[in-house]
Amino acid sequence: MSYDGERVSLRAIEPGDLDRYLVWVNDPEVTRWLALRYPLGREEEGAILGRLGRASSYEQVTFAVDDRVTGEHLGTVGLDDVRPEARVAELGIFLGAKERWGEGIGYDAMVTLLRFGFWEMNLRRIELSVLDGNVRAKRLYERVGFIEVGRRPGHWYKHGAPLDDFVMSIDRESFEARHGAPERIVLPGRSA
Amino acid sequence: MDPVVISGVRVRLIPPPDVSFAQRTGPWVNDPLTRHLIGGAAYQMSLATREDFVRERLTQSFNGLYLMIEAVNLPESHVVGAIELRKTRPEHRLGEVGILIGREYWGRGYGTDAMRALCRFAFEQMDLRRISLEVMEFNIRAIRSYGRVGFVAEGRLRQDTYLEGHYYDTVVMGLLREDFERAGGGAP
Repeated sequence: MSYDGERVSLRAIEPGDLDRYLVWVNDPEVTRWLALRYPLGREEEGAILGRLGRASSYEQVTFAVDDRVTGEHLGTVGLDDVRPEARVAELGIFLGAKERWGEGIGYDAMVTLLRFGFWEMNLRRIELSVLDGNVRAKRLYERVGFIEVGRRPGHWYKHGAPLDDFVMSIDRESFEARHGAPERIVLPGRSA
Repeated sequence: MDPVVISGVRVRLIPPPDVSFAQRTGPWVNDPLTRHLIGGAAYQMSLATREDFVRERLTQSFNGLYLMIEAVNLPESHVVGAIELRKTRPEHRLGEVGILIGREYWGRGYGTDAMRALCRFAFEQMDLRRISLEVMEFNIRAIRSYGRVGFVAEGRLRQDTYLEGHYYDTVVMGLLREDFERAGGGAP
């Protein structure tokens, strides 16, 4: 059981995921546009996953992304830096399974996570940051419904030079206009 | 079968042997609908998180009971859920009950039987006067089940829970010892 989208299932991170994460976070192709950069050993990555595996609350929520049909583990999504007064969170995503890039997994993982953020956590707005040059990701975020709200000059340093990023944002109303609004819960099975 | 302190007709209530019970609860608590029925958002609980939850509840006392619900009428006895008595107050002689039945076991009367068995224990062995619970307004099967045990709907916490993009009321139900006896709960 998990929190499911159309193509993906979101579930809690478990210790058995460690081998895959070790490969992904040490793969420069995967981390090229991420904040990640330092080599990570088994001990340290295991400790990180131990924390993330317990990150299932308003303060920080992190999911493993699985292929809903095959169960194959493909990556991670999460929401953190949640400020309860403003009800704004920051979204993070990466798909480590490179051979599955370009299939629309990221799109469905984003939509499913946004649904969770707006409909389970009652957020008003979800933001993210994308590095200047990460063209495919930025296009994906735009397709999902994120709007660019600002550019931060030299906010990062990657690949030998300072790098700008774009801050992007989506609110619940525009999410629902694009992806649909929720039905009220009705208990299945025998009726009253 | 070993003698058991708390038994119903279809179920017996037994303490989890250790944190390994957390392996059983994963599919139940990580099912979004099941979570919504017990008033929680669909956060996904890793095994470690569920073990923390069970570990805090391994000691059975007046302060709290956390018991596995084991069906006894299946070919092999099978754990079908869990029931908890918490927030007990000796001054007021009251407590609050919470119950979870795995989705694959819904509709077989296990919940009603377990609730009756726990309430009987709480009245007869702990001398409570009042047991209360909270239930989501859309959980009509649970509300009906609690009614059969003798629980009376006492009020609504209006729009106090946000699930799947909407606000819902929580229904507060209470059971006094005389409600329980009137509903026929006294006999096992």
